[in-house]
Amino acid sequence: MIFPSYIFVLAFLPLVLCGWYLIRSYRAKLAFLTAMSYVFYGWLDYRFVALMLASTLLDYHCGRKIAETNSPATRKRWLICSIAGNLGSLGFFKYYGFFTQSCAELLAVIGIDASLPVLNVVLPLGISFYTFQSMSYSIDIYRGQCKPTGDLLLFTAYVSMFPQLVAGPIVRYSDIENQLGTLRHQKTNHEQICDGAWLFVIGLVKKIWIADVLAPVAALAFDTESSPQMITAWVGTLCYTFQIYFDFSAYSDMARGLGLMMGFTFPINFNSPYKSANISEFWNRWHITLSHWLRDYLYIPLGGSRCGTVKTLRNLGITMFLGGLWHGAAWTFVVWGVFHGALLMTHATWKRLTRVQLNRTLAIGVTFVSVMVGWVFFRAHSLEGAGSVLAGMFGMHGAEPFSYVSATLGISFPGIYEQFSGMHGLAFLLFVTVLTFGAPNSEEIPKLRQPIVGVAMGTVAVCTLTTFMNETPFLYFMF
Amino acid sequence: MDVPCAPGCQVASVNSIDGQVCGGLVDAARPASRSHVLRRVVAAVVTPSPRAFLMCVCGTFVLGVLVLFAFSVYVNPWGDFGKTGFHRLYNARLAKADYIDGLAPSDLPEIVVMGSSNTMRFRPATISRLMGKSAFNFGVFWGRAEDFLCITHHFVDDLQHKPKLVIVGIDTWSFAPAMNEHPVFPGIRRRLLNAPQLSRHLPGVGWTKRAWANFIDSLSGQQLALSWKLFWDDRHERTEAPRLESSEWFETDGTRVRYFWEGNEVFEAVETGAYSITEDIRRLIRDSSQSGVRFVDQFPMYNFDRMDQTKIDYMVETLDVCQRESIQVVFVINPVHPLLYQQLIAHTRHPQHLEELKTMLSQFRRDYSVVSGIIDASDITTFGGDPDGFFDPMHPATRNCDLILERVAAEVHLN
Repeated sequence: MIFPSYIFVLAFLPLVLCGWYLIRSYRAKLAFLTAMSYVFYGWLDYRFVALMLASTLLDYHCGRKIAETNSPATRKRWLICSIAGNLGSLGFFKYYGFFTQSCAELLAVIGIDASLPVLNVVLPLGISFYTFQSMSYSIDIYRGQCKPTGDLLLFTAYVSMFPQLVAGPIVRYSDIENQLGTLRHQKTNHEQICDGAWLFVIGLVKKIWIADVLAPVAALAFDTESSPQMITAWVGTLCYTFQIYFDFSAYSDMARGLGLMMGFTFPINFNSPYKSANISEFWNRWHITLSHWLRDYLYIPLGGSRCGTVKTLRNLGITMFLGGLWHGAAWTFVVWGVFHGALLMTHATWKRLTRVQLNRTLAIGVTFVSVMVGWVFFRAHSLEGAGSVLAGMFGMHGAEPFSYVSATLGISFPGIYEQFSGMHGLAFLLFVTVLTFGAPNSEEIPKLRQPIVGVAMGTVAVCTLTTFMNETPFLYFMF
Repeated sequence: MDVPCAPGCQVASVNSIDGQVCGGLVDAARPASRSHVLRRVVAAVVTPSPRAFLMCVCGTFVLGVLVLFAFSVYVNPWGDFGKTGFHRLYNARLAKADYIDGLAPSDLPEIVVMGSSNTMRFRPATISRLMGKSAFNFGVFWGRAEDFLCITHHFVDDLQHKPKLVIVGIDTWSFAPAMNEHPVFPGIRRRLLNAPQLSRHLPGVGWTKRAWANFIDSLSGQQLALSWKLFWDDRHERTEAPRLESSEWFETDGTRVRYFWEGNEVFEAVETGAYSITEDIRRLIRDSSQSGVRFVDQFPMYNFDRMDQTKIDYMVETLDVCQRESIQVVFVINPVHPLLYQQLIAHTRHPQHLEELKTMLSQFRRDYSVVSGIIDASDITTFGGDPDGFFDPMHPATRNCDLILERVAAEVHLN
């Protein structure tokens, strides 16, 4: 079950909202939320419900044990237990195949034929998100930044909360603890539900009418056997750059919207990242909850920027390397992470060495193109594929005649038969560019409350409904 | 912006645009004037109010869904909601099943052809001439493994009739995974679902799932766009789905009689040999390569990674039924035009699929004594067929089909 699907919009969501506002008892509300979240997750992949439950129980138990004792050694032992359990399951399900294959290839290079056991392990949906979420709970208790809950039901509801379960935002326990507590006295807040509806519909529109429309054009550069030529490579990469932003931020909008409809405020995950004037600013605007998680639980414990230039650069590199690996078990993601690490290091060095300030528009352009080049690694199926697209972008496979654009770079909108020509496609791309750089983002859009706007929004929602037949999962579902 | 109120307005609440409170007074005893009512309506729809906003969102959404659903039910382009509608495509499954259901038991065919549209020129008249038994062509558009299962069950279980032989025309994509993932019935053709006497034999097709599938289909943009086209542009009439007897597409023995290629009806021209398709296909391949688009991409059904085990299981179940009922089976691997064949070999996994298919059919032959022949016509050139004997790159014409049927007759010995 994904958000833009008939089963979710026509059955699951109305059922959840009705149940949520009809149930008055606090514990019944929590139980209902947990049950529906498990139904939601089980619908996506029932095989891993037990895994999520195990992760929940582990961190609940570890959190309590950490808080129960004052002995630093014991506290540390329970923390290690929590981290090992979470990273262990993440490592097994997400990275086992990658590591065994990489080891075998490495050994083959030095002439050792190692037949390591191959397991076709299926990646449980959302594991990267909920393990980070529940792990942060144990770490925060260890650091004394939050208190453990004695309510298993509440903690299970927190870990499994369906709106943000599969692809974030990564919500820390301290972010939501008070909100879960106030459920006892929750009153229907129409303002908040309005905001939620706005965000949900904006997310739907971004996903269906922007991200999914751009996806096939991006595929022309990345999913073909032949090497893409210059126009295809640039247009394809540009389309992917917008696709991933509109796709992922759409999910975050919908997650936040659903949260608001139920009375929860989740942290903001995107803040017009492509308007950033440097790479550091970009990471403060892109996937903010992950950036902050990596900052608080990895970069700062490594020493952050407090131990001299060299160590700061090292810490940036390590953080982004692991950030890249978090995204996926493939060398392409590792290179993407390292590339961003290198950009951050370059930026940090630049800041220390010179006081030169680029013109903001130019700086935004340079940052955007750098990020775009990074997406080539992120999107490509292999490093060779990424190399091929990059070579295409730099004209090493030649350039197509401009007539090629109208012949092959056409777009089509879901639910509409007509295939628009390449020139229309370019016009649409221009529109998306203006939207990205010139328009307010989902949080900034004024959320009008006039009934006539409500009618328009209902109409837009019905229009998006007509496009749900080909359920296209969100890109971040694979992480 | 203030809205001027009628003289004597007493309503000092949300009566005006932008939430401004109007200052007038209304004489409660006097009915409001028409312009005043209009102003109140305008004010009500433009004044911010979270509760009214939510009611409007939900109300518009529910109303919109109901309107779209009602429209789809009325136009009913695919026959999801009964047999009456503005029919878009001929449902050969339903028409042929209805026709067979209407036959007297003694008229039911002894030989049944099953397969996709590629088998639709396997003429029962030729079969009867060669094997001396009555025959019926149950080839259906996009016929695949699940169709073979349903048709076989329909004959055996519903009609209590055991054909002596079934000729199964196989394409590599008969076992391909779903191309478009329908959220409820991935990989199952809607036309099969809309032939209830057939689809009831499909595992996992209950009425609730069908009702839900029909409901969400009715809201899909594809169906709505088509419905609008039929209703508004084409000005079709709402009629009963045409029966096989009155179909312009088929003869009553199930043989197809209309073929189109590049927008032209080519049936007569190909059958009489007046038109050679080979040159046209060669030109299209040349044009495609110049525009950077591969010719084979126009045939996405051949472009898949591996066969789907569910489809193979359907075939196994079909063979179980045939074995149990002693119904002989002959497999025919359908041909495509030699130029398409070359392109498929060069640019897709067709060679692997063909090899896998042949291995699977050979295994079936070993496992089931009722499987009495496998005719491999995949490469029509080596098979001895006519490269010009095609209506388009996929559909063989009568002279190639007759040649295949002669080989079938040579393999089978019916009592």
